[in-house]
Amino acid sequence: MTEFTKPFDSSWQAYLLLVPTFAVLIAFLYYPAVETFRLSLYQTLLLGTQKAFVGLENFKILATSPEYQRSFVISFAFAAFVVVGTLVVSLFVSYLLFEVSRGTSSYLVAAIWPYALPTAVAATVLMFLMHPTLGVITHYLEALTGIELDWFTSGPLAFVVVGLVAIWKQLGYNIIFLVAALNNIPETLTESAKLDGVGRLKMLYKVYVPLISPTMVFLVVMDTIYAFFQTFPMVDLMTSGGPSGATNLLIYKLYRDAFEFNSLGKASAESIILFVIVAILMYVQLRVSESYTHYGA
Amino acid sequence: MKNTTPSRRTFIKGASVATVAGLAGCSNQSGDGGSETSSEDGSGGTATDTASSSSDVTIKFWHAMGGDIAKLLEDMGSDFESQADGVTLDITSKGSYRDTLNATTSAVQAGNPPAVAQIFEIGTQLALDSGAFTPVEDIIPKDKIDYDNFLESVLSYYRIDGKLNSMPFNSSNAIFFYNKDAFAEAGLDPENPPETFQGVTDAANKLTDAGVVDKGTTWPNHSWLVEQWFAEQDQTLVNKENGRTGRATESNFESDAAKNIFEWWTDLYEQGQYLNPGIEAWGEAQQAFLTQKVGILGYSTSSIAPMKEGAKKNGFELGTMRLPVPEGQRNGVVIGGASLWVPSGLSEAKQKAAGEFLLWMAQPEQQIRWHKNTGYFPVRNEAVSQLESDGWFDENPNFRTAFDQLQATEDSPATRGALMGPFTKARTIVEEGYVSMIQNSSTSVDDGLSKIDSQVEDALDSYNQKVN
Repeated sequence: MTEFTKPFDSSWQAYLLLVPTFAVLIAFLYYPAVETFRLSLYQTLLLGTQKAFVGLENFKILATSPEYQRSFVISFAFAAFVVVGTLVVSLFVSYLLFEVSRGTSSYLVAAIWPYALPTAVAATVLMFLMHPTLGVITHYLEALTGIELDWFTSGPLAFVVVGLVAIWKQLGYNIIFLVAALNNIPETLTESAKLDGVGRLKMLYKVYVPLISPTMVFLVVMDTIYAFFQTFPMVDLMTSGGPSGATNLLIYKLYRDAFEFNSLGKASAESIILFVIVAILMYVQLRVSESYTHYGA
Repeated sequence: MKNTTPSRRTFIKGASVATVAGLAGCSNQSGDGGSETSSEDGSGGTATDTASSSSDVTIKFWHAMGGDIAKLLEDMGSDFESQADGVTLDITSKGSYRDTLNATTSAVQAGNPPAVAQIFEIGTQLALDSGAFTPVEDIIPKDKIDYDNFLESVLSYYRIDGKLNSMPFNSSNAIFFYNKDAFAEAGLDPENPPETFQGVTDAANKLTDAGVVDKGTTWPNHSWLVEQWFAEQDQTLVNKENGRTGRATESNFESDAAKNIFEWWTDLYEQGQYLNPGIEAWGEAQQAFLTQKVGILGYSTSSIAPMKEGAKKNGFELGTMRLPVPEGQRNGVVIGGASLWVPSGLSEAKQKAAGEFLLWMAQPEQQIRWHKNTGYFPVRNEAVSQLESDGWFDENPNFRTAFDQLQATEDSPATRGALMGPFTKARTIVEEGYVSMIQNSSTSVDDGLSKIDSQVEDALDSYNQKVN
């Protein structure tokens, strides 16, 4: 049995095994990151066919640009909307899935389904379903409520529509984790709480939520990253940042500056800023939630 | 392996080309394009028994067309191959105009550019400034082409400082479509469509009063149409004669011409007569028109053929009308569309092949085929007179509307079209500016226009700083 417990002590072999991982990381992560930082100090024409070193000029321009400031605020509001919305809805859906005893897996599949759809496909399909003049959903909503839902013209409405699509798309991911977490709660606890006469809703937020809080913290972090970085296709396909910049998220704005307005340098600076913002947010979230989270014993 | 000497010679020739191409592929880091070309060259060398005088060469042609038009281009490409001596075409669609421009310039930087790239008209200044292209006038041998045969308005758009930088290819301008059946039902004369802004508003109201459509009109919220209306009113978009006598520094969005356009357009929206399909939403606008939600559609001449087809499928007759204008003089339209550019840094053989391809594409036969299947204008005078003598315009009056409009255009800085580096940005500013005007009634047209004006000027400023 001794050969099984003998510690692995060949460091060169360990390095060798790490080489492929690092090669990939360097080629596709670190090198582009360094390159982005370098480019952020340049002003460029097209995709850098001509460029001039300008130091921190790009950052200065961004800091004073009202358009960028607006995009900044919108991105935070959007992230808050998406993170809170996703967590609340997925928590309730997961709770229902957890409680149901018959046909659990088919409900689970139905709830997770949207997550399996490519974002671009989902955005295109939903865009046509909710199109202000041609969409089926909008048509019946308008007929029912009598309100004109022209989200191609109304900024706040567009914000909500894109936000809802972003939430809808992310639900599946949250539900997978939440259902798993709920299923890990000992049966005995549920039983004793029930004997004490705890109601269904109270059970959720007094008993279950504290118990699954580590999972929820993880989801808050993942959803934040999602809201900042991965909502690009929806904005691109549904609103192009409009109307009047109401959905011009930072991630979309930087894409546009780089590839449509041909300012790669400025876009690189934006991408550095976005990276810093999300890094700080992660840190704060983890710190704050540490005091509320029960990691059990 | 065959043992006849000529084929062995071609093989050696092919192999050497392959090696050179392979080396080029290695040295410029982006190996995929290089190796692709080399293998094709190699097989071309071994397979062809008929030894050609010029060495075989494969050139890449990147374009931005999709659907049926992309297929048409591929068909035309294979026709070119079958008559060309040892030139193979590798045609790829890069999706959109913006993507094609980006892909081409990065390929130039990586040292592995396509031989021909289709670049949209508003990318002209940017393409020039990038320094990534060789003027076509320097590539095509002088004795093989007579520029006098090209349409004046097309040439004057693409000729900058007396030099033709790119080969005009798909040229179009704005045109309005209308539903003849809906017009008849609403008591409007289907043979006499409106000509003016006011006329369109009136017709729209008649259409909705009769209940034949939901809303009178639609067109994509696209700055291109605004630019056309500027030209009709003989108003340049930017100063320095539309950026053609020097770099533009000021824009003219606070002019009377601009006010005419935007007051009418916002008024239409407020009356519930303009369906807003979204920014640059060609597809949605077309769909709203074909499903008969609206009776009048602002669009491009490039889609006359498919639009006619679509109308027929949906059971109504299509009419075309000239771009409506505010009261007064009709000055003409600006050429839209794209032209074909040849990147710098190509091998001599490839550059020569690219020149041959451009010449072939500009031939009347190809131009006629291209026109009939799309609606883009032929860019050669011979092609136009050929079409006329064939009776094409008499049989297809819809195509005539577009053409009359072009030929009635007066040559002036306004109709020659604007040149500016940040054109894509300016377009977005105009389109978002319109949305802000209709979004809340507190933003007046004047406020909206002055905002557009200052934003476009900021964009011009920062671009000019970059190139200086």
